[in-house]
Amino acid sequence: MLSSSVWRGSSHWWFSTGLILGGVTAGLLAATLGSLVLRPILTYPMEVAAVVATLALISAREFGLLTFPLPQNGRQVPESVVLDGGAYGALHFGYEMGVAVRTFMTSGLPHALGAAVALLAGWPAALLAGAAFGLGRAWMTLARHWHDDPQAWDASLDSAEKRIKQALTVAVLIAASSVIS
Amino acid sequence: MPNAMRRRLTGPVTPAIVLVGVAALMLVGQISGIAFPLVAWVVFAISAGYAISGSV
Repeated sequence: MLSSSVWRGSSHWWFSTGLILGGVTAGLLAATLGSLVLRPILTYPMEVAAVVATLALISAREFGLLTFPLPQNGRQVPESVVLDGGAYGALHFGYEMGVAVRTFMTSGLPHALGAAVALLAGWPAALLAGAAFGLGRAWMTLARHWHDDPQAWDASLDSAEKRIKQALTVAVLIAASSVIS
Repeated sequence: MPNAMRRRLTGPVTPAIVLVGVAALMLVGQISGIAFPLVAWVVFAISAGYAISGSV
């Protein structure tokens, strides 16, 4: 994806916009699911316990203490969508990836976010979290685009990816403690 | 901007450092009795998005 044709011209801005819009959609869907299905039947302590349990499992997985498959729709967004044009195609591609319905989950942190949004977030927080999720997805691809040596960037990511995800897990745990408290 | 600084700022590790740093500041604030719940959601969500952003 990092070397995708969406990076021609100004397409990366449309792609990033699509990611953020997709993330907002995912956030709204999670909040809607939580409001309509989960929160009417769960008490607040049960909601907190579910989020804490999810975070504990995901964190253990990220640090290699546990191994289990992550729920995912392991299909790629076909790159043919970018043939719809430099702007619309990139926007569409980004939107699909931002919603994360068709993607490979290389980390469980989005699952923890989804659980937290569904169970604990009000509508403003759900919208903000969704947009921020899309922004997070865009950050890596934009940073690589602006780096003056993509091959060195790729090599750096390959060697540091595990530590990056573990550091992000620490950030998530701290942030989640603030959300829950 | 000098090349070395640009490479550092746009490197793949920098976002993780920034997010951990912001989270650490939030933790200090929390201990001091100051909460930033919306900032917490942003840090949580950006971290989750960045964690899978290398995948398609």
